[in-house]
Amino acid sequence: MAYIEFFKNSIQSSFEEMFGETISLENETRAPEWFTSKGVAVVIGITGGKKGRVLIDMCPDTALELTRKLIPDSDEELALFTVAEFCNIASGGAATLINNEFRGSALRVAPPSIFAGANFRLFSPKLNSVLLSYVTGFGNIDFHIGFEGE
Amino acid sequence: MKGKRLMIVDDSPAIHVIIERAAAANGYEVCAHAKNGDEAVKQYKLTMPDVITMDITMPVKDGLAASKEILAENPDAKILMLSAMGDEEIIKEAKDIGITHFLKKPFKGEEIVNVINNMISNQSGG
Repeated sequence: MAYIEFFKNSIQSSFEEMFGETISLENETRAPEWFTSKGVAVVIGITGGKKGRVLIDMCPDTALELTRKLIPDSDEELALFTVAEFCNIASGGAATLINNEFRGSALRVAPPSIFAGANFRLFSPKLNSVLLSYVTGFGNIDFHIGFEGE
Repeated sequence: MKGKRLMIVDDSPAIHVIIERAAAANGYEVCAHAKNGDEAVKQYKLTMPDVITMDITMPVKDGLAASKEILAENPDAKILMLSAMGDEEIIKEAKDIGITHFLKKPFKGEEIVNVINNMISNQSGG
């Protein structure tokens, strides 16, 4: 996928700036259409010159640990919103890099949708997504990134 | 900045907590919270804050549309635009509607307080 390097760069810099810790890309594969969430998932739509979608997935403990790095007394609910904000920042940063590189792309990020619960499954039709699996000191974090026509 | 009043507009409660704690530690009073642009316009008219921190990407009404309405109501309103998006097109759009201060996410609490301090100082200095 043409845009994936921009996302990798933005995910890394956003994570390190936001949480002050390193994040390592462990694996990059084609994402399955169906997958079972680790427990906290956020979906952000990409609009503009090309339509796409970014999905972040992690377990609730990872979400809470990340959030407590920023807000030590935070609870599970605030953790969901912090994951959504991280996904928004990483996606917005990538869209900015793409817009600055390819004039006329005019990519924009939509407000996030948050999903939480045990063993729920998500299905992504029509999009060939890339699965980026990251390792962090807070736990594993997956990104599914797909654009139409890729 | 004792006595100066701030309105926080963002759809993320985490951002509200981070900004409010940093602002309160520096003497600001957070007089209003809004989670979308529509609420922001209504809250602005009710509370008339000295400075507004305004996210761009929000449901119902985005930060650019809300800022346009607030600046139509009061052209001297001090709005600090916050966004994960920082491409030239968005910054131009923000400047075109009269926004003069912009901070890219992610930011640290002290960074945003520094920018707000500057906005207030410029206002005081005329």
